[in-house]
Amino acid sequence: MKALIILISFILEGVFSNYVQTSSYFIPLFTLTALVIIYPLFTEIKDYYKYAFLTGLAYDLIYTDTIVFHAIIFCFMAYIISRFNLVLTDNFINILIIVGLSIAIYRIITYLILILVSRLSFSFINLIFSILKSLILNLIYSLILFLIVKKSQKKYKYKF
Amino acid sequence: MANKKFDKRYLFIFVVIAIAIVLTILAASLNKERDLNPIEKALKDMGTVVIKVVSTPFNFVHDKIDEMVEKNDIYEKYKEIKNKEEQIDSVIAQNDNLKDEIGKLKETLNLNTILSDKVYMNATVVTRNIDYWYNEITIDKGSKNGIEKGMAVVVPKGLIGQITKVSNYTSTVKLLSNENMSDKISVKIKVGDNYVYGLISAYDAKTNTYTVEGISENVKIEKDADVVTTGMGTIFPSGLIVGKVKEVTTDNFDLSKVVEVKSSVDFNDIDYVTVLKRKSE
Repeated sequence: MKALIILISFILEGVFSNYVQTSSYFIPLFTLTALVIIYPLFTEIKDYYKYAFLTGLAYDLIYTDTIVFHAIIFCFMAYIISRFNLVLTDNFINILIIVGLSIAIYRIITYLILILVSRLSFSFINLIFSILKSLILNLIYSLILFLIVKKSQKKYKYKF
Repeated sequence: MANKKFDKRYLFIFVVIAIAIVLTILAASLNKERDLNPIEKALKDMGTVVIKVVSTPFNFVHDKIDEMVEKNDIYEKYKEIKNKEEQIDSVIAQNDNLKDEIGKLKETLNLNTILSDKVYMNATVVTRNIDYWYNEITIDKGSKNGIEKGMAVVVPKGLIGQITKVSNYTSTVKLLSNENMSDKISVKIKVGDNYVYGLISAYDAKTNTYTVEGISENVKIEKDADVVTTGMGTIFPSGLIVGKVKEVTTDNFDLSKVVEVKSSVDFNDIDYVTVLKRKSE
């Protein structure tokens, strides 16, 4: 189930990116969103890090042509998500807050690192807009995913 | 207890070294000259096939919606096309004549190829811009289809980018809308019957314009003049349309002109592309 959610989100992100425009306010970051949603399903934190690392590796290979960059970033995001979950419990408003904060942190970190390796030039407005543009669609997606996971948990009394 | 202290002291050094290694690897992997290794190639091909299969039904729906939208103004389109059709015969005749002339001139000059000779290859966009910062698209043709690094990529409206990474059945196109262009592209601007030469040095996403530099002060450039590639320097063929002149200013020292060129392509809407290669002997 966990692997399925990640896989579907990962592929959907690729498919969706074909239809949304870069300048529009709907930029998909479904993989990161799925990482937030599946956190409560794990009992072992080590397994969670493994999932994050492998997802990041796939992201590197298929989407961005970099080596281990996203694998490490996703592991770091997994750490941050686990910290957030210590403070905020697992209900849907809290999930939305965590998703929003994770997206902001992810954007800021990747932006700073890409500036460090002189791939981009610094522009604060660009950074703020990139965060705003990725919020709307991903919050909606996280809400849908969260409801689906909760429903199926209740209905099938399923041990994930 | 002693063990724990030992860990903490070295943790800082460990983290610093780890960050340094990651940054080095990242800088190396973002390098444009890098070739994908065979494992990366194989995995990328596999992933792209999966995404292509999954996106087929989505594509179908998308095409149907496009069709519906297009049907609305079909009559006006028809009138427009009918107007153009009347002119097309004379254009074809003229074109044939010019081709013939070029052929003869080539023969007399003993030239095998000229800068505008090119080979075409059509491709479909599989994923685009998966991460906000990268400004790249992935297309479904690769080295097995004859694609090489550095080829020009165009849509009917004009030039959009350059192939940067090639695997067996897919390749990555770096779009010109990338804000930091590491390659300067040589272009020429039409002035009367002649051309002036310049280099594209930057792109502004907000206004969809390029900045062209290196043009001498004493030429008069008109608004809406065509800007095309020269075919020099890079392996781009010549005569690919880039855009139209929007604004002419001078640089900080009043020594040369800086031209703002409105791009003819909408970078947000790219579905099918054509890869071009300059024909060489």
